[in-house]
Amino acid sequence: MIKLTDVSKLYRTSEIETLALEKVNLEINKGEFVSVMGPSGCGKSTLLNIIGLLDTPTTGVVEIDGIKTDTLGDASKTAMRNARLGFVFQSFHLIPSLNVTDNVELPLIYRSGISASERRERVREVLERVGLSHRMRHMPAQLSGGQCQRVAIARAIVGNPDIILADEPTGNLDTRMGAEVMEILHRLNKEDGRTVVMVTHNEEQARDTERIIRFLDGRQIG
Amino acid sequence: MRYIKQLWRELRSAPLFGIVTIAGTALSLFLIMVAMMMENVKVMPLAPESNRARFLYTGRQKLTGIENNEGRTFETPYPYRTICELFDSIPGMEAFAIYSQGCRPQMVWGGDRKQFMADFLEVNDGFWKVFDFTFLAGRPFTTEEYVSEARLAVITEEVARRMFGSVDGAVGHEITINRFPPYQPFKVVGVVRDVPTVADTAYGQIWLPLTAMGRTTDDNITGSVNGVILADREGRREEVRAEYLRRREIVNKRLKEVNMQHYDLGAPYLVSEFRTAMWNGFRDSVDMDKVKFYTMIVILLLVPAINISNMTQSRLRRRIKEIGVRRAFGCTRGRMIREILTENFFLTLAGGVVGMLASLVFVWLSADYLWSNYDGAASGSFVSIATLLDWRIALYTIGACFVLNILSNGVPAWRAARLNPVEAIGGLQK
Ligand SMILES: Nc1ncnc2c1ncn2[C@@H]1O[C@H](COP(=O)(O)OP(=O)(O)OP(=O)(O)O)[C@@H](O)[C@H]1O
Ligand SMILES: [Mg+2]
Repeated sequence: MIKLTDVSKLYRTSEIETLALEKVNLEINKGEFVSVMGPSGCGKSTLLNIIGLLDTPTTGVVEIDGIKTDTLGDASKTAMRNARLGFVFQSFHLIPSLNVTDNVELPLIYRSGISASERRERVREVLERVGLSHRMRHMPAQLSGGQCQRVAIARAIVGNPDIILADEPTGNLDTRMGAEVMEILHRLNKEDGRTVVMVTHNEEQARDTERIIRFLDGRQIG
Repeated sequence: MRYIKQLWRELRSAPLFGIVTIAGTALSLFLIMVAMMMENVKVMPLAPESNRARFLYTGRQKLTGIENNEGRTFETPYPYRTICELFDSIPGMEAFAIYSQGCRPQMVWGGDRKQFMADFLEVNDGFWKVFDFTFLAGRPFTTEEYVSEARLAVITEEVARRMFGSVDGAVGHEITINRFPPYQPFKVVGVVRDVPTVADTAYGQIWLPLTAMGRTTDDNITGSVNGVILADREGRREEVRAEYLRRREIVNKRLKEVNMQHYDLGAPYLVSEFRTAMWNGFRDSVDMDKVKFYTMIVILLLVPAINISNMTQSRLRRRIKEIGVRRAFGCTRGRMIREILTENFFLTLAGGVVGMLASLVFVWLSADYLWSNYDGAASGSFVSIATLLDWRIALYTIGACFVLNILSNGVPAWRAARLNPVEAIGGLQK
């Protein structure tokens, strides 16, 4: 499903060069729930961005569903993100000037051949799954952090992607709300068979996943 | 719809951006529309000059000396005889209006009211066929009356009311004009609707036959009349000009005796050339005028565009995270540019509509000051807002907004689309 071959990422600024990832070889199977762990600055987010086709590796190849992405242009990668990938961010990144429905609908408006009524139907479905169908007209500012993250998850799955990439999805939430979010992610993995790759600092959460990938200074150590 | 909803929320949270953008657009559009309308009113159909598209203006005659008169040139109105020789009954003509040069106010009296100033114009019988006056009472003077030098007058509604108290009561009464001692009276045969001063060829308040003034008999090389040909259809100019040149040869043979010659002005003139070419003597100057005009329009678009561009730039900087999120969830670069331009188009359009409405009101209120080098006796503005309201104005507004939007928001949109999504999303955290 996801295959990284010799992936390195070098950040170059005027003063300093940072090797954020060093020759990472990694394979994640369809339907797996994987957590990525490691100290701050070890390259976890960089890894997720590269898997998510938001960033390109300096060297190495990322394959998704057998498609080598290094030769794809921006438009193809964007289309692939839209169809196969769903993102959940630590600080939610909902669009503040859109209400819940419009936020969740976002991936669908970048997809052709879906009517407005179909889109609304899909949005209602996924909001029901995250338990927020009664908040459709709310603005993000009117929601709690946990609710925001559930909206963000609804947005990530509305387009029915195979892969969900979550970068510290509970990092900004208290324990109880974090547990709710984790439960939803596990359901999406178990019930729908979606592949989930999650970055976390929480050992307990990580233990509940099928596999833990550990990083240190850009290298995979287990 | 989606765009408008989001734009509205966006603007409510940061009203300054919206206000400045709308105000900038409005000001720009206001100036452009005023300029456009000022140009347009010069050439648009405007009763009683509804057939301007078929008008061919004689302009003024240009004379140059030869032999011992070498170096002398005149630009004057035509003598009556010459204008008839050159243009009357020219093939392709439907009617020919001749009118005295200059329309100046004179004291008039009649009825039992006090005397007052009114603008009068001396005209031929064809004048009433070339221009479509609306007669509220009576009729124009006929060819027979014109030829027989009858002392008749057509007056406007305003003059009729001031002098006789009503429109219907005026016909058949007599008026006297200070200009013509020994103050022989003229009999009113018709009352027409008031004429806007911007219809400046037909404009007057009292029209008298040229014959009754002795204007048709003077025999000088300079004269006091000009004319307008109403062609039977548009696009007749070159044919009429060819015949005019042929006739000019004949006139020039006669003028040779006094060592003067007509030389080429490019007559007769289209309405678009009339006001410039006639005075400057060259048709090329019309193109020059157009260049100047469009340069001005471009400047009027560019100056606000630069400001709006900065506005949009900072508006987008506030929304950089949103741009990253949209890119992450499948918005391509091209789509990003389109979204930004579409959203801002509504903002520009809002400003454009405000500017357009303001310009309509402004032009309507100040019509007479804007157009005429006229300082006559007319009171009030006669250009109705309905005359100015032209479907093309809406089209120009949308067009100008479209151009302004691309000029001002194209670069910010392009830059936003080039952003790396990771950096955009992280943009607020780092
Ligand atoms: N755009 C960038 N330019 C330069 N250096 C960068 C950039 N992004 C990340 N880095 C560096 O790359 C390294 C890896 O960063 P990354 O964000 O992947 O770490 P992380 O494991 O996600 O850390 P955290 O747990 O704090 O989120 C860090 O040293 C970081 O400073
Ligand atoms: Mg990180």
